[in-house]
Amino acid sequence: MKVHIKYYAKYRDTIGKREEDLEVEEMTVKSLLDLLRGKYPSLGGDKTSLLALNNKFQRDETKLSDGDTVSVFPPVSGG
Amino acid sequence: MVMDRYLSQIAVKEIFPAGQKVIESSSIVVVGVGGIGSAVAEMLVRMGIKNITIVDDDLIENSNLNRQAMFKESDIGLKKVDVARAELLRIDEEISINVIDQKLSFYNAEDILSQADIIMDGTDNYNARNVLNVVSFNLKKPWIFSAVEGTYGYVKAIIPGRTSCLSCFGYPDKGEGISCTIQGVIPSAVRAIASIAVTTAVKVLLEKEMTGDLLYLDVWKPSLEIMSIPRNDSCKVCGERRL
Ligand SMILES: [Zn+2]
Repeated sequence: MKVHIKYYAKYRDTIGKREEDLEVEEMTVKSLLDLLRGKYPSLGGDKTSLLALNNKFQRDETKLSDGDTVSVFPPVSGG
Repeated sequence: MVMDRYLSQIAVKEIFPAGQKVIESSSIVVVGVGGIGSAVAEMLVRMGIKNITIVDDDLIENSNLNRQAMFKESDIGLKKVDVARAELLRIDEEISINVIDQKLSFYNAEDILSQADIIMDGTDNYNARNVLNVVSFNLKKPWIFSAVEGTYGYVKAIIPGRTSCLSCFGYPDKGEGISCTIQGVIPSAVRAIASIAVTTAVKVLLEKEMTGDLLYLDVWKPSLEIMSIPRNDSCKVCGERRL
């Protein structure tokens, strides 16, 4: 199935793209994040990346569906 | 003189008619008087907040002056809370202002936050936000999470018992993070995030913000995203099924 991934904030620079479509097996939000960390080491540097599925934050075990949009945000700490 | 100060904001239908009274009778605590915190404190006092506590143990440095409201060259080396106090009193001499020259920690947070109607996050690290998140939940006090770096940032209202909290979506609960001076931040992003934080706080005080959505703003692109964050039953801070 196909999922649409959108990258935000510093990930746009470190990964070098704003969005992409990925062909993936059936998987959970957590396993998608693991897959992306393997593909893009710069994501792995953050212990916590925030993932929204169709503009709603989802728990790790939520299963992806064909056509889902997944948004990936880094944690931000400055003030 | 003060009577007509608020006419223009009272004319805004979202505030009129009762909102101004609510603002003026609310107690606010601003934790961290850096980029976001100094702008938030200044805006809220200008809008009519009469009872404010500011918390910070830092001194003013030259590297703060590109983005931190109220501080000037002649203030370098002075305590942020002392200068902020004097500046806020110059804006409105009738405010009651309480200054805490300390870092927020689990040792002092309950005392500092217990009188607040709302708490503003001007901190710059994960440890302090974790203290805010846990203690605000225990005290049932709403707080406004705000964070910024580069050209972007986040704002979210956290209302215990009603919205998700910071821990519900896995925001890191420990670490210093990377300081703005090293990480880089554009001053206009700081002000934009501070403005949204102030607006969100006013909405919470007027009971017009109940969602706790996470707002992401990038001032450079520019773009704005709003994501809903459901409450997490298993959240270790606020979850109903937490262990
Ligand atoms: Zn929670």
